[in-house]
Amino acid sequence: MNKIYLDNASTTPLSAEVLSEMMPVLTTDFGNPNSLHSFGRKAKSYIDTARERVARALGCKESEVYFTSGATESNNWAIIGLANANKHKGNHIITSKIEHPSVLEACKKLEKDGFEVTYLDVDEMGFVRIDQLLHYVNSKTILISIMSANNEMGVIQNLQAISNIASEKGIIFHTDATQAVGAISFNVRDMGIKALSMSGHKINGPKGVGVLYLSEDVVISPFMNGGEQEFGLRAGTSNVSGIVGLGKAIEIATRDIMVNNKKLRNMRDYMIKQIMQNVELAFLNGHPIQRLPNNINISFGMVDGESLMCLLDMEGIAVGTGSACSSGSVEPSYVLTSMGIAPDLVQGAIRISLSKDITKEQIDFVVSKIAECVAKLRKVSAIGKSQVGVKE
Amino acid sequence: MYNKKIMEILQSLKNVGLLRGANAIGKAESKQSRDTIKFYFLVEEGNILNVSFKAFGGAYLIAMCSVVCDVLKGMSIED
Repeated sequence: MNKIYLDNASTTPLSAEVLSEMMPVLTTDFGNPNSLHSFGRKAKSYIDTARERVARALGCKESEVYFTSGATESNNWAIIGLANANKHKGNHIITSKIEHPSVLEACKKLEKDGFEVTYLDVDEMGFVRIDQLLHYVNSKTILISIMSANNEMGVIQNLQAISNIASEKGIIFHTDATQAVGAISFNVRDMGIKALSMSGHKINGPKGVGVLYLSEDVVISPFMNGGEQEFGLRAGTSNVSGIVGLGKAIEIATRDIMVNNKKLRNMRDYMIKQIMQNVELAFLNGHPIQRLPNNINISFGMVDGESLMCLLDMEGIAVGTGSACSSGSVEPSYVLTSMGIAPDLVQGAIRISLSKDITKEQIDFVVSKIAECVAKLRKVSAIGKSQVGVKE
Repeated sequence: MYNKKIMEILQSLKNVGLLRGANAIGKAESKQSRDTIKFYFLVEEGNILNVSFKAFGGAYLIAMCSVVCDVLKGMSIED
């Protein structure tokens, strides 16, 4: 059976170009970049190149790029580190209800430490409520953290509007761009973004490596102590191969962004159309256009998304339900619930995230299998057609 | 996430849908989610002659209902 992987929002395969850049570091050029001898200097030069590539892709200085173990670490560090380093200015943080758990849990920790956190609502299309942001911003607000694009329903937030509000008030604006890098062109300086988190494995790079971009004019507490790595703020021997892979991956993602986005948007829109035409009671979640070019989050009435995912898996098709980080939980998606979607449709959602290699033939095949599996589950369903989308 | 047995049960689900002549219905709903199961029973003189089900929920729930129907068949209400 030829398998079709449509869960690229969860993780992506390592590209051949990236792997070939990583190989020397994994074999011959294995030095510790903190060693002063030639092996160490060679390893350090690899990290310097990767840092340059990230800086070029994000539109910042190399000294503003910090390598981490991934976006979860970057988010935790940004939220907790920025809050603690700036608490003399205020104790109020604003974020949204649809952030990744690594932001939400970090905020909850800060609440226990005496910070006040406002969690903004989103509208029915998945956009963070800018009117609420304006309402809740106050003189004690030190940090606004809003994700660039949502990991479940793919809606791209109005970053410039949020950033403008933050910079007018002198508030640090952090964005979790884990899903957005490679899909949105970033120039953090022009956009007024003061901190940004991203990950390597979402852009065909390796797992276990991420970046926190931090503008030079903001202060942050160190994340780990015990070494001078990452400008003394994130101690620990550098993950050289991962960093090299991330550097190459972001270079490729930025280089190919226009071509990839054009193709992905075409494929995404074609697939949405095919699903709507072939499966009744299908509902697209999130804004139809201002969303990641590879993201389709769709609910099927009378059907549980996890069951559908399981049946599709048996057909060799991998899709997601909600986010990979929280799937397996019995709790319904807090992201879709925040958008006011009815509980049965929240439960009936699957996330399809395409790769740039997808073909129309594969899409046609997948849509036919979705139609088959949905029909099979509807025969079993204890929810009637008249109950679909009913909010209690 | 899913074991082989669950996959096998899902591939050949049994006891699905309404049951002709059913004279008892059992229904349960989750408080946390919209998970719902309904069992349709044909009971005569205190014995379960046949059972079918409908379910809205995850793969494990659906597979479990299919198996539970097989287990219940032939049992008495007292059992």
